[in-house]
Amino acid sequence: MRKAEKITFLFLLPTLIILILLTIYPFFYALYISFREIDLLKDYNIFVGFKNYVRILQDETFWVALFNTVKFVFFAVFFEFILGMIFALFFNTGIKAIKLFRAIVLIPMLLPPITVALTWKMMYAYDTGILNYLLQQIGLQPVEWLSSTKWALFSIVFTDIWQWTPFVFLVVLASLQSIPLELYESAKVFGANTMQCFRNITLPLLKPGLILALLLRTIDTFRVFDKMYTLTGGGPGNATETITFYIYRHGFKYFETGYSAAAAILMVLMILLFSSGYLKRAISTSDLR
Amino acid sequence: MVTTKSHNQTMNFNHKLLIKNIIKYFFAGIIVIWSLFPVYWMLNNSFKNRVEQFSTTPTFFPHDFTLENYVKLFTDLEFHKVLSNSLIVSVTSTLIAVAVGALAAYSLSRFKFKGKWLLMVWILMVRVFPPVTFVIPLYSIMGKIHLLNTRTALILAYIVFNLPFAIWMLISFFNEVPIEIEESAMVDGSTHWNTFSKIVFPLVLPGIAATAIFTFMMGWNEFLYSMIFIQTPELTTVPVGLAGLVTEYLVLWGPMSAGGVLSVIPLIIFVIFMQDYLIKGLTLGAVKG
Repeated sequence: MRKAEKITFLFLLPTLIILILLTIYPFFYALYISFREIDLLKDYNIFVGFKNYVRILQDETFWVALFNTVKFVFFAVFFEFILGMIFALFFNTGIKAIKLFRAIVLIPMLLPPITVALTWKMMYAYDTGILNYLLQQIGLQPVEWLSSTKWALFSIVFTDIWQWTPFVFLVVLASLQSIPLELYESAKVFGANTMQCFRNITLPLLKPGLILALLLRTIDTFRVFDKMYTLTGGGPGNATETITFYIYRHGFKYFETGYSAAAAILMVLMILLFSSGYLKRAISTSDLR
Repeated sequence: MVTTKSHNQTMNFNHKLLIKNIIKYFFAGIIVIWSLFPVYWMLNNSFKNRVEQFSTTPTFFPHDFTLENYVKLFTDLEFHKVLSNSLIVSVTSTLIAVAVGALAAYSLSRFKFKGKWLLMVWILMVRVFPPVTFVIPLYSIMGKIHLLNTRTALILAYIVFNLPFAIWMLISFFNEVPIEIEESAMVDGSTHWNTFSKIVFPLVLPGIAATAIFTFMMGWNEFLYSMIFIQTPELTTVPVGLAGLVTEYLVLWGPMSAGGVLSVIPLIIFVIFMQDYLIKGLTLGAVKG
């Protein structure tokens, strides 16, 4: 570790300029306008204190959006972890052509989310979609995947699971492959069975990778927007409305800039609350040397 | 007697192994179908004519193989413009984010200075904050400096999200370069800049390539900012262009599928040629954490 010199400052200067102009300033600007009522068309801009925040918390739709978001994050992340772990443990059992299989499993997460959403929209179609066709082939009733309040959120969760299970798979597989085989060999010598090996060697060594993957999946799922926008547009009713969607609607459809900024600030607070535990860990174990 | 018995055991063992392998590759087959089916379905539909697309009995191979969807996409819908917009925006923002990020990451990896911890935490926070937080203030700022509805606005917005990611990823790559190499160069009279550009930079080039792939993909896949900042169809990017083909009133599944197939091409190229870098980049933060 060397001492700071002029060069450090020069190397950091472009980054500092970009971060200050495009993140710090906008963040405080958002905070500032969240306390104001703004109408850009009528040139109307007054300080209203906590009025926006109070209105949000009293808005039933906001709570629906919050509940939908939490439900979405919980189910999507939960199943992505289960499936990702299964895939990874399976591919770690000495399968041939692992590189080819790994590349195939990765494909969904690399696709543009919009392409994924549109493809699934085509497959979910009630009359012409492949899913209902297959259901009918095995003698089941067709499902209103996207247009019934019962199924719509589930369908989007399912699409997200399809796209992001590969991420968990990849992290777990990489962690598994970095575990030295000697550990298992010596455990076997001491008479440990497969289950004991998994509990006492595999799981503890997977933990750091899993925790970070959990953090990343949680914060990325929290902000989901593209899939709702394309698959259901937040409907039917507001069955698939999420917080990002709520902010988008108020900011760019109703042009309630201040209100929408306040909702965005609330969302940031919630994410920080949700992830503060992981975040502390991520910061303390990061490559700060 | 003895030989027959051991012969039987070998048979039995081979038999078990065979069954085990059949189960294994059967399961692998299911994972492959699960991962590839939607992609195949999009490809399949992109070669079907309009009638076949809306038939209630979906066909697994196009009956009347046609390229009309691709032709329509480029003639009537001018998709080449959309593709070139996406390319310009993604490539430019990637070049800037990675260049600026590499300098910052080197400095953060090597030097100690006041405020370093705060800077690192802020960089992580920008990754954690949902993009929708910045969309409202950035929209007002872009409006004030007359950048709305330009590619520049998108390039700037993508730099904001790519830069923290690039820095975070590149720090790990720089940390892998032993500091002693630089120290011996410095002893031989090399300047800071020369040490960085002639010695360290070539060593982290693979890491820089991996980072560049990721930032490119983020720009290529991004939807929210592109939808909000760009109003003219002429300037729109691939995800928004594709979403525009499927609205409540107009459903152009054929051209949408064709466009979806084209949107995937750069990503397939990366998977084929850069798999190892890709894996490294994807798992780096998580596995080392």
